[in-house]
Amino acid sequence: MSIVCELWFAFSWVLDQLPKLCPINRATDLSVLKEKFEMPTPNNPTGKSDLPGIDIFVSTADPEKEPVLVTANTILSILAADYPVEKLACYVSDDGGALLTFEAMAEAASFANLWVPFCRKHDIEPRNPDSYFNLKRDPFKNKVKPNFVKDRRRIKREYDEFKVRVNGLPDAIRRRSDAYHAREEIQAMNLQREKMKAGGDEPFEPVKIPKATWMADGTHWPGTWLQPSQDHARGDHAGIIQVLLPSQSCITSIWSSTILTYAFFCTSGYAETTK
Amino acid sequence: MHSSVPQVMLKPPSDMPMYGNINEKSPLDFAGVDTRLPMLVYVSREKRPGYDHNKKAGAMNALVRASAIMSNGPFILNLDCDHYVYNSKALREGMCFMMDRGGDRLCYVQFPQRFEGIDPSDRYANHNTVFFDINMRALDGLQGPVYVGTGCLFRRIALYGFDPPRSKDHSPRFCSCCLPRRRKASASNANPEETMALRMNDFDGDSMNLATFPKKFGNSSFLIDSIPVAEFQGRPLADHPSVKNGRPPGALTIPREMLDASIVAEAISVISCWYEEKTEWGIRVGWIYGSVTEDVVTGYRMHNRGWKSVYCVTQRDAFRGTAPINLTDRLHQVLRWATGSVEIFFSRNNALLASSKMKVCTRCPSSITIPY
Repeated sequence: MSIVCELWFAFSWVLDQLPKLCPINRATDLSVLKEKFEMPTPNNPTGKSDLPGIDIFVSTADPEKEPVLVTANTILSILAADYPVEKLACYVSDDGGALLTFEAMAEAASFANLWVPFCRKHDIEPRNPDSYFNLKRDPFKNKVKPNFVKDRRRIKREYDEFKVRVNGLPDAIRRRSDAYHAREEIQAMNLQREKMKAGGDEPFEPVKIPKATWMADGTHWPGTWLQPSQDHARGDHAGIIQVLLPSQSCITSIWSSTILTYAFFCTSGYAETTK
Repeated sequence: MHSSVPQVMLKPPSDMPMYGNINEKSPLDFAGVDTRLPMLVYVSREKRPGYDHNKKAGAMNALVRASAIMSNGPFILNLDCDHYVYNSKALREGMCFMMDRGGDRLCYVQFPQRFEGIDPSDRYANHNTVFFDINMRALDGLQGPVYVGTGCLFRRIALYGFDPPRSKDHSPRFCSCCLPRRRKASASNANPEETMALRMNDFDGDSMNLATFPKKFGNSSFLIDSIPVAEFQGRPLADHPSVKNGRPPGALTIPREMLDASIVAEAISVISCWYEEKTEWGIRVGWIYGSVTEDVVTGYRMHNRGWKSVYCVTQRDAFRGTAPINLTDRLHQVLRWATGSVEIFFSRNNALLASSKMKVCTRCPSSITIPY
């Protein structure tokens, strides 16, 4: 057995060494690219870019394991990249289908309105706000534009506010969902009470309203409830949650969410839950 | 279980630069600065119990289809959510290779993976220096580096499973002696229509070829119509006689189409979970399913078709990520790579059995992932 292992390693070592006989280094010349594609010519007087478009894909799956703030920062760095704006498109794939990621992206998109022009104006590197503000070196070196100090202070404040908003999103979503849910329950109860007054012979039944995650405009989120399941690839835990939901909904909302978390905890057997 | 959500968060920008002015209510003074933002789309594909979602590869393929309909950029950059753009000029550097003479035969440009937030002594070898600085550079001397899953600029039609242009003119330098000639013939006969597709300057005349598309790519006519466009836009500029298969200068300065309701509706339908049924998505088109390390297999398939790839080390790191810091994560990652490479070695993707389009030397290194 050990000889087989040795032979295997020897074999893989040979495979590993063979290509190293021919390493290569490459260099690029960005000025030539600019000259060829972006210089004004008689046919193209304004110097519009002739570069092809790039679609950037960012994949995320679970806002628990991959914090949304990190994803939002990645998005901001992409939006601020130095490439013709109309040729660039950024796609975020959220495989967990979490409202949290969705709203964090919306926040990032609105913060980008400040961040991206700021980067362009002062030629900021790196264009990821979190790493930029954590840089060890002197931020004011080589900055010639007059009001850089003022702009930087302002952006820093805006970024801190943005960070607080993104970090507060899970609570905000939960609170909003609870509030909308409670409102719906009251409405349904009132409706039933009126019916009872009118007809009177129907037996009183507990009102059942499926609990859902609510978006800010008061509509149901079509994705997963609050947070995605841990095993997002199979997608069946999310199903479990949604099946469980209607049966629990007669209890008050806060109570039910606790029970749900507990039920989820039991069915899936994960040590850490999202509550 | 959730339904398809494509949500355009930032609309496609206008064609001309829009400069900020002082009168706006913006808190900062952006006079003379272009304030447009690129398009940003949030996509969550449909998931239902009973369908195999193929994890990340499935999500990427859904994105490929959605983006083909919404913006159809001829190049695709793939990043993990914890890898951010550290060098804002990195996209241009990648484009240098793609737009170079002979760049039309490049399937992807791989950027090195760099990490920050690692302890200085780098106890768990998170940097992977040996792999990224020695092995990848070495592979670049052959047909090209392997695709490592993030920080990679793809040519869209290479992802679609087409053959590179002029694949018949370029006979491999080292024709494998262990493979019979017959195999070579069958390999090039297996997809003559694809090769032809890339040689045809006018796709419309080739109706036979288009007829096979629905079987490969599914029955979205938007998607199928977008394929020749992506092919054309990805060509290098034909401003020099030595550039073969180029496009005329100035062809891409025209504005893009705006999004309308029918485009969004089509995007919803292509990211639904039944779309890939009875198509070649995941088998020959897009990210390949069924492997632990789908990324290496995906890159390998392209090399196998005769595409080349390039490893681009920029002076300033192109992308940076946060590394797995604790030991358990690191071990899990290494284990995943190791199983993946052994799996590749013993599967039909084994490099030694590759088609003749791949150079002999390139075959060996495809197993280089074994040490990891």
